[in-house]
Parts: sequence; structure tokens; C-alpha cells
Amino acid sequence: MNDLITILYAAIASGTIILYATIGEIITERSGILNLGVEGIMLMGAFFGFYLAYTTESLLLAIVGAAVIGGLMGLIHAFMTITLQANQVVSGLALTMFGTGASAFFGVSMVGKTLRTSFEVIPIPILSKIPVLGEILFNHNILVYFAFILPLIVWFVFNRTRWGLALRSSGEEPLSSEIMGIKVIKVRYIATIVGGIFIGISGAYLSVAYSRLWVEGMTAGRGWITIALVIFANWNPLIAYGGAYLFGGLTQLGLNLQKFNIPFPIILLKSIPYVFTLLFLLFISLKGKRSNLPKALGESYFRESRG
Amino acid sequence: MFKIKLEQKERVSKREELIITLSAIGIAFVLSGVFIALNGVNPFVALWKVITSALGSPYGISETLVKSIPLIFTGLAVGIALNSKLWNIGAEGQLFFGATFATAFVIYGPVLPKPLELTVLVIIGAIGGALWAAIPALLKIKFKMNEVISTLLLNYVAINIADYFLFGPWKGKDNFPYTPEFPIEAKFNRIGFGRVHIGLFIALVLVVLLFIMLYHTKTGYKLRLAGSSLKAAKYAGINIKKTMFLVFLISGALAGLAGVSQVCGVEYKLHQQISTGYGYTGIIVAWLARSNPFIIVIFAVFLSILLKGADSLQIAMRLPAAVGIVMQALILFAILGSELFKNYNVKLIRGK
Repeated sequence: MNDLITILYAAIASGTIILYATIGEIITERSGILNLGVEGIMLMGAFFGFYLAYTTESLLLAIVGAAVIGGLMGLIHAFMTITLQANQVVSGLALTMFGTGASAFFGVSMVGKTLRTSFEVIPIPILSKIPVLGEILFNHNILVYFAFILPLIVWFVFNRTRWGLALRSSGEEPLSSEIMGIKVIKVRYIATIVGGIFIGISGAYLSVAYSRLWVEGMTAGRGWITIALVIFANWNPLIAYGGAYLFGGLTQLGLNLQKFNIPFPIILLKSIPYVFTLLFLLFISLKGKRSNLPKALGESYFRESRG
Repeated sequence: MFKIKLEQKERVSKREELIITLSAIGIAFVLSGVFIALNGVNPFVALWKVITSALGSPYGISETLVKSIPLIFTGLAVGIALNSKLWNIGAEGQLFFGATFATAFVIYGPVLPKPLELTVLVIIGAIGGALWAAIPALLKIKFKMNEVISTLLLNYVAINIADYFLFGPWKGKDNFPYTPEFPIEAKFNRIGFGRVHIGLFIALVLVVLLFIMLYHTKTGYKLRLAGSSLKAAKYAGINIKKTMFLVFLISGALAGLAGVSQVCGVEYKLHQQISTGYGYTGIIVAWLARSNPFIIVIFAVFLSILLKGADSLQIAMRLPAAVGIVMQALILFAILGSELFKNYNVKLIRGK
């Protein structure tokens, strides 16, 4: 039982990394822009967040800094794909490569450093006293709690505000949206930048709050897992909870296989997150429902072509 | 506020295209210079170092060529897929899988006479790469799974499987993760120019074969048609699924050969650093070369100049190793961004 609580607790903590990034990518993709640069943005956020936390000892600055760098990375992708109309797949790959390289380039000085500050666990009064559930859910740091409400906020914005409508219609029917007075280009720029901000924060959460150290390439494919989870979540921020925490849970369960006396070569356990991600995608494909896939996702939008 | 106005060009001259590409590379170098300067190194000195270390001596040129061999293989691998509008982002994993397969034969198989041994290793490595590429191919064909994500995720798994052997049954006597050195029968011959090995010939032969296959055979026609238009391909009675599967197998096999060429031609053993991201650099090579096999060779050499130069920057100027990845990314960005200027006249106009 205690083992299980530990595993579920870890599932929430590790699922949070992916939840932030998944929400960010959903925002971007809903506007019609596919950003495959998640891995690179996360790494930049992780490095920059750690660097600021280490040098300034201010956690707030670390998160804000990671958000800014994430937003800037989003801006690069937006400029490339919207203004310069570059292929979205290639620009995303370039962004991943750039983020991986630049974070490793600047990160050399931070390898092996330990943080003197960290996000403290804040037990939520009353709720944290609930047996089992309280231990699993309400004994975390503030970033985990914020991740609890973020998808709700984003869902609300998507479905109950004019902003959300503009965002979704830009991703579905950019041409008719423009005719209806929506500034598609502006919407897509903002969505890609805001998406980058949350992906940057996910990186900072990883390095500053979760693992509390900086290692080159420490995201280890989580950016790609995120892109898969967006599909799994059917571009719906509420299902993203399920995707991120379920994924966190299954991964933790897999990593703890030997606790349950299931023989499995320990070194191969590292593959579990990737294999699970493929299984998630397989499951979605078998179910065959991808109703929220933005129709214009990945396509360049030529405003002039209305002409 | 300024607005950008685009006017489609009527004709694009080769010369203009070349000038735009070269300017883009120039811009990428300037941006790389900024990065290098941020680390307290004079960017002009660094750029000079890149060029002289890669091209300034017979040794430098030979080392640059050594790096270009796996890049030709992975460039071809990604390029053949791209020709059919398929993204193989998994060349890195297929490279490791091919290398692991070849290494398994060296360790467990009989030692054959050299020409036979090498032939077997090349075939087995290609099969290894093709098998690893068959997984995302099947996932795409049977379950419509996006191949960008699946091929990429499988890179981590393939490297993990290689690690399993390196840290387990194949680890060295001193417990470090590398296999014993290959016997002489399993080593590619050198061609008498530094460490350049016969893998270069294999790569160049494949360049010619692939070119002929793509542009002068029925199969190649099918592959390209499937890439240009699914509708047209279906109308022409081409079995799209079969074609896709074939493309993935060829692509994986080529990436697997990059792995064989690294373990048998350069390292003479399997270890974790047989590839410094050749699978990913291959994506850039293929993209820049528009998948044309001959132009792939040119860009493979160009990028290996960068890789060799980055190695020297790391050693001589103590710049972080990642400087090479940053430079590659900037070149990709710059050329990607320059595409627009090739097809359009871009004008800044004052707007509201």
C-alpha cells in the first residue's frame, strides 16, 4: 500500500512536467500551428530556469525567466512558420536542435551544481489530511497545484470566451475566420508564444522543482511524448489531465517493477516511457476518434492567396 | 507598423537561388559568431579555425571525409523517405540498431574470410536498420500513426537496447560500456588517406544506384509519384501502403549501414558514442539537398566540415561540444527562412 501511494505521488509530480507542456502545445496546435520544437523549448526553459534559480536564488525569477525564454522560442517558430511561411515540421525540428544545442552550450557551467533554494511542499489544510488521497494529491509544491487548475482555465478560455473562439477557428478555417474579422496571423503568433511560455515553464519545473539539477538533454524525449499526448488528449485540455497523470503513473509503475518482484532488466526500464507513449497512440488510433484535430494544423496560411 | 507584401516571382533563376542560399549560410555564420562571442571567444578566429582545421591540411580533409561517410548514409536514408513525403526522424535509432546487429554477428558469429565477413556484416547491419524502421512503417500503415513521433521515440528505445548489451553481456573487461575490438576480418579497409575507409565507396555506389532507381526505374517513379500526390498515385494504380513500407525498409537499411560503417570502419567496436547525432544531421542534409542523392553528398561534406570544425573549437578554444549542434540548427533555420525569398519578391510596406 505504501509503495502504491509513493508511486501515485510520484505520478502526480512527474505528470506535472508533461501536463504544462501538453497544455502549451494544445494552445499552439489549436490555432493551426504544429510546433515540434517542444523538446528544445523545454530544455531551454530547464536550463534558463535552473541558471536563474542558482544565480539569483529567486524561484519566481527562475519561473518567469523560463517562461520568457519559452515565449521567445515560440516567437522564433511563429516568425519562421507564419511570416516566412517555412515548413512547420522542419522549423520545429530546427527549434528542437537549437534548444538542445544552445542549452547544452550555455549549460556547461551549471552541470553538477546544486540549488540552495527549492519549491517547498505546501500541504493544503484539511484536504491533505484525507487518507491516501490527501497524501497523493495535496502534499505538493505550488507549481503542481497550479497545474491542477491550468487546464480548467484553458478549457474555459477555449470554450467560453471570444478569444478561444478566435483561436479555434484560426486552426479550423483560417480563410473564413479572416473574413469574419479574426486576425488569424495575430492569433497564431500569440498562441505559439503562449504555448512556448507554458512549455518553458514545464522545463523549469523539471530542473528547478522536480529533479533539482541541470543535466544536458535532461528532458530525455519528454517533448516528443508531449506531442503524442496532445493527440491522445484529442486537443482537449481536460483530457490532458488524464493523459499526463496516467502517463506519469504508468511510467512510475514501470520504473518500480522490481518492487513487485517482476524480473525485467533494469537498464531496459528506461525505454518504458517511450513504449507507453507508442501504446497510447496505438490505443487512440484503434479508437479512431480524433474529432478535435484542427483542420488547418500544419498548413501554411497565405493571407495574400485570397487575392 | 510595417506589413510584408509578397509577390510571386515568375521565374526563379538558379543563380539567384544560389545567391540566396549562400547569403542564408552567411547569416547563419554571423549568428553562430554571436554565440561564440558570448562565450568570450573571438568569432573570426573561431571561424578561421573551423575552416583551417577541416580543410587546411591533408589530415583535416581526411577527418572531414571520415565524418561525411555516415552523413551520406543517413542523408540518403532521410532523403529517400522525404522523396515520398515521409519523415524518417529515426535514422539515429536505426543507425544504432544496425550497428548492434553487426556487432552481434562479430561477437556470436563465426569469423569468415575477410571479404565474406564484411559482406555479411554490411547485409546484417542493413537488415537491422530496416527491421527497426519496419516498426514505425507498420504503425503508420496499419494504424495511421504519425511517423515523425514514432520514429523519434524509437530512437530512444534503440539506443537503450544498445546500452543494454553494452552494460550487460558485451561490456568490456574493465566494466566500461564497450565491446572488445573487432578482429581484422571485421574491419573495413582504409583507402590510404588518413582514416578514410571503404565505407565511402559503398556510400558513393549507393548514391549512384539510388539516383538511377529514383529517376530511371518504374519503382522510383512510383516512389516519387506517391510523394507528389497520393491521388495521382492511387489513380495510377500504385499500392500506396506497399510503397510506403518499401520506402521505410530502404530508408532504415541505409541508416543501418551508417551504423555498420561507424563500428567496422571507424571505431572497430560498439560503444555509446559511435554516432554524434549523425541521424539528426542527416535530416538537415536531406532537407537541404531536396533529397537529390548527388546533392546529398555535397551537403554531407559541407556539414562534416562544420562537425570537424566544431570538434577543433572544442579542443583548441574550449568551447562546449554543443557548438556544432547550435551551428547546424542556425544553418537549418537560415536556409529554411530563405525559401520564401526564392519564390517571392518580399516587400516591406507601411500599413496600419
